[in-house]
Amino acid sequence: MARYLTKRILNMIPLLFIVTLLSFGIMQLAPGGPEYVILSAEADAMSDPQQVEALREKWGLNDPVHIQYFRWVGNMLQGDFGKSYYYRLPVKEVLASALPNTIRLNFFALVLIYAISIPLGVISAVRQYSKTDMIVTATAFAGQAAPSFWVASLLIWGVAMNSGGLIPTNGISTPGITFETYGWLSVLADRAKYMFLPLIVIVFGGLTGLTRYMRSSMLEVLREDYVRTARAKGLAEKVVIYKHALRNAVLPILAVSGGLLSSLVGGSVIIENVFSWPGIGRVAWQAVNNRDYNVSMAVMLLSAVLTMIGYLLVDIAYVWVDPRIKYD
Amino acid sequence: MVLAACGPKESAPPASPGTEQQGGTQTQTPSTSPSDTPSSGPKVGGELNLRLNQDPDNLNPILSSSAYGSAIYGLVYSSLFDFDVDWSPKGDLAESWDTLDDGLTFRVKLREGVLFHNGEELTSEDVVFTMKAIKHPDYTGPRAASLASVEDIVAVDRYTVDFKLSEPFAPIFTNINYGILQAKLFEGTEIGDLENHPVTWEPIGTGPYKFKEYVRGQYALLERNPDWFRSEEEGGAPFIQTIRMKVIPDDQTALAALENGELDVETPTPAEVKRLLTEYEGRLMPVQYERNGWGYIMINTTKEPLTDVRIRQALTYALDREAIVQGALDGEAVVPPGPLPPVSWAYKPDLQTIGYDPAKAEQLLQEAGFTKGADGIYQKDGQPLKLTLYASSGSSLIEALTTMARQMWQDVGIDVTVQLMDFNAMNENHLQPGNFDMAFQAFNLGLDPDSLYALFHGSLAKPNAAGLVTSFNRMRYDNPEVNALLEEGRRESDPDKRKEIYGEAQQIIVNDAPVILMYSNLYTDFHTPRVKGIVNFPGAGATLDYLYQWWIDE
Repeated sequence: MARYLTKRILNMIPLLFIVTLLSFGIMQLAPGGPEYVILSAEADAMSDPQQVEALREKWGLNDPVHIQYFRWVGNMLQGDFGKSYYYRLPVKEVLASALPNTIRLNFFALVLIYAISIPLGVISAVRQYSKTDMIVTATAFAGQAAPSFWVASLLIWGVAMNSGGLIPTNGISTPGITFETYGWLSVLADRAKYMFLPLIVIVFGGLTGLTRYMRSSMLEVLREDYVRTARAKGLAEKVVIYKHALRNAVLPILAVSGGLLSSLVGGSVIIENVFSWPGIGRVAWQAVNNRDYNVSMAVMLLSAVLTMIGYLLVDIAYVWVDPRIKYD
Repeated sequence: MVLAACGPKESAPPASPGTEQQGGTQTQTPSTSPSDTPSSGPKVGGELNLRLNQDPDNLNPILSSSAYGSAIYGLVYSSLFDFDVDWSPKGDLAESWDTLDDGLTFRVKLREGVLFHNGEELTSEDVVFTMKAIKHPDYTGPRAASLASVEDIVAVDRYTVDFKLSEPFAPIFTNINYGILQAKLFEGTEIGDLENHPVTWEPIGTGPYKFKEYVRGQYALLERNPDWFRSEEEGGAPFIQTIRMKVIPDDQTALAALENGELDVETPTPAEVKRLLTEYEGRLMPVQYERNGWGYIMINTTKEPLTDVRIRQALTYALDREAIVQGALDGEAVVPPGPLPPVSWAYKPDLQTIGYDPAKAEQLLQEAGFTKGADGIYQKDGQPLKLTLYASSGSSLIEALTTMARQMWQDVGIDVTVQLMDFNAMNENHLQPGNFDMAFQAFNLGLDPDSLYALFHGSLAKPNAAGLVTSFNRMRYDNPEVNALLEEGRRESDPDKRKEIYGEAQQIIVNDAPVILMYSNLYTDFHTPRVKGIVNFPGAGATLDYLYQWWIDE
């Protein structure tokens, strides 16, 4: 196991190298740079090429791309992600203000998605081709097919606007409602009402995949010999399904959950924009628009690392869930 | 991508003319006038909710380059001048001003007793520090070029500042009009390090509002400054107790927030204006105004056959711009009569413009030696008159506009191909290297007619070592007469004489036709009826520059 882990972790290094190299290169291909975004605010400034050059020189943007890349890697390895050109703040500070908001929203979303889709998938499988199965399948596909920005707008105009001020159209919390001034109950209620709509959009859009996976995996398991044996022994149907079948059916679900960790912090550009949720997706989107190279790279790296760790954890979890699997 | 995202509501302060936009916004005709008849006088109190489209880049008046930064620091800091609704300068921190030494010294006398929000008095040292910081070689903000004509800034006494100029410069009001920082706070700070100073995110100024709080991604909070130095002369202003600016990136969400009463002022997308005017009549108040700028087609004056002024004029005569405004903009715009808008004091009312006259267009082409071919396209020496028009992709307005223009040119016998592409790619690959015939873009003017300089002065038409023109004069237009007039307009301080000079320049520019001015949008801001006293500033609508006059009537 230890050898296997070492090997896996070492394998990540060249992979990360390739990912960052590609991101860095693609970013440089986009026309315009951060100095252009900052200076074009004033007509006079743009007509003075010397100023543009001075900023590029100061920020080292005139160096060859590979030099810039290795400089970035060198600093990154020492824990320095550089400064945001646009906000003129350390990248860490920009990300640190957005990260908790994204995690908070996505944590609840993921819990709900798993809590809803696994039972739904099981029910669909057990009652294959029943009315319940049809409804679940149809809802799941609708969630997948409806674009999230559309669902979000629908909820804002249909629910928030008609809620008599109960559900806000945007934001994350009511300013002033804090633990100090109000009780924890009002704080909780306040945060919940802001999270309500974005949560619905994310959960609705995220149900499909898992429900379908769970359904087909369960269907497969239900045809296995050991399930027939369990039934033949005269075990109650509940025990057959929830004790014998479910444990085996969950395995494939684990396999598709490797991206979980990165989606927890990845954030969604669309949902965070539509609901004015101050998260990491919005930061990343702005960084790309502003050619804020250092911020873009940090977000990219973060999600790459978390994806890799996520899949590593999945592989480790296999051992725990399925005793037959061993890594040597 | 919008380079300088300038919501008209959050217009950058008048100090920054010539922000460039991708162009392509539609708006609404003014049909009703704002019904702002105060029932009683202004009173102090209330909270105003405003929108920030994005997080501000920073809150330092000399470093920030976004409209979202200026929305905040513009209320916290004061600058030397303000601008009246007729666009003439009036004193803000400046009590009086004068031009000495044949125009080489611009002397500003400051008001006495102006206090920063931390209680310290503002003096000439603070003005000198702020201006010198901008001129410092290590300065990293976008304002340095504005102060290019200022050689030195000298504190004559505690309340008098001299700006030493390299040559007389009449439009100096807008060029030195930046929020004044408190010098004392920056003792021991290198100018190159200014951005790391805490004041960059916690501004301390002398303006009508004090900075209270900014939560990244969420909101900024400002609080009424009861000790504002102009409070007495403005009848107790500012009136609104707190200003909350919420970061709402999505236009649809902002619109919902406006209709829901969560926002008090908002500029909706043009497509929504008509609906809001009828559906929310009496519940949302419109503030309608004409954009101080235009969407225009630039013509590369250095590329054959467009070097011939007759071809450029023919291209202009061939277009029925009124029809294009009706068709592509639903009539929510006007055809600009000339480079300067009629509201400007420098506008030339008797300007001879180039109207729609297809016969005249054909006549000019023939005079230029072109003959009509069998396919109806003019040609010369066997070469058909084929041109390419570049424009940004992704805007239905631009698509409609270019399609209509193309057809009109076709009708007189000019074959134009329209190429839509990404704005930045167009700039880098075609406009800057001069590798184009025509291109559509948009330009915002400043309050001084000197804004024409950035577009039409020949010194800005020269390509750099890499062969690129990075200024706005991508037409590469260079007419010595116009250059001389634009320079003279900078030197002359007498407004009447300046008006004459710019009148002449406007006429020559129209005749030379380096640009075809297509439209100036009509914009509409909306506000909730509880907000009173909103000033409709020509070219900027419900600008925050006059927020100190607003008040809330619950």
